[in-house]
Amino acid sequence: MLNCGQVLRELESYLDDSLAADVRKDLQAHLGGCHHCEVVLDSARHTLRIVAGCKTFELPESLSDRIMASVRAQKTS
Amino acid sequence: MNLMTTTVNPIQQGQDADAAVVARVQAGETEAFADLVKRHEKRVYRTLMGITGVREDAEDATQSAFLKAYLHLGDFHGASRFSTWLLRIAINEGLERLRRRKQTISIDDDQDDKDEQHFRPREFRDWRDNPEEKYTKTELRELVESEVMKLPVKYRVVVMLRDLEEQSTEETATALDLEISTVKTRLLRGRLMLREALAPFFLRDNEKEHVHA
Ligand SMILES: [Zn+2]
Repeated sequence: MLNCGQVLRELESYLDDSLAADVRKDLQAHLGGCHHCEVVLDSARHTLRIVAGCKTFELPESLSDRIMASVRAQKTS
Repeated sequence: MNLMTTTVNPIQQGQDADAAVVARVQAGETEAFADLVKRHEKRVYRTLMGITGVREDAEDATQSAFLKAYLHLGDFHGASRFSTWLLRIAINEGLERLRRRKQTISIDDDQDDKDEQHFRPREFRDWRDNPEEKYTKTELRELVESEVMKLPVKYRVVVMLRDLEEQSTEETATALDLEISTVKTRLLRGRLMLREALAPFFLRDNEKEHVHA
């Protein structure tokens, strides 16, 4: 039987669906009796989807032009 | 007991999608470098946002990193992927800027990673079923950006590479010159911190009432 700390350490595998079958079974058994872990795993999945889904830190449009301008300046100097 | 298994894929010859373009630039075709810029500028910029936390610095450092990569392209012999090599240059550039700002940074210090293994979530209220439906895309983006930027730098960088740029754990470890186990620990901590920070915005309505009940 997993304890809450061990469940947390499986979070990465849980999120990318790479849990080994026996661990998945143990984890499900734990979640059946532990609402806290259920909430954490469920909301961590939501968190990841939200973070990946919104286009954060978009690149300034002119940046590639500025980079190439500095590269060309090096070449000719 | 470590229940996680890790597969590391060694870089094999011919596996680097950038190799052909790199060879053209190395042969003197400067304009081909623009392809490399287009392919990688987003990742480089986000990584530098993660490290510096300041938009102007990240832009400036991105420009410097690409320029350095161009100038040193003759030293690149394909021992790693071009993208990994470039990201190393970018990270060094970012760290150098932090040092100049006299900011103490600790992306390669793991002295407190032991404590982090005992990090415990504190927020256990239920989230809505479709949490993002409550907000516009712009609101969500601003919220995520602001909460990601509040993470301490060593977690922020790992979360940005892994969850925003969708690099593998192995690639993230290589880029940051960290042990895979360290990346995993920090990723877990960073994700849990981000989850706690975002939770108040995505709780079920009845859960919010509980607070005052
Ligand atoms: Zn539990």
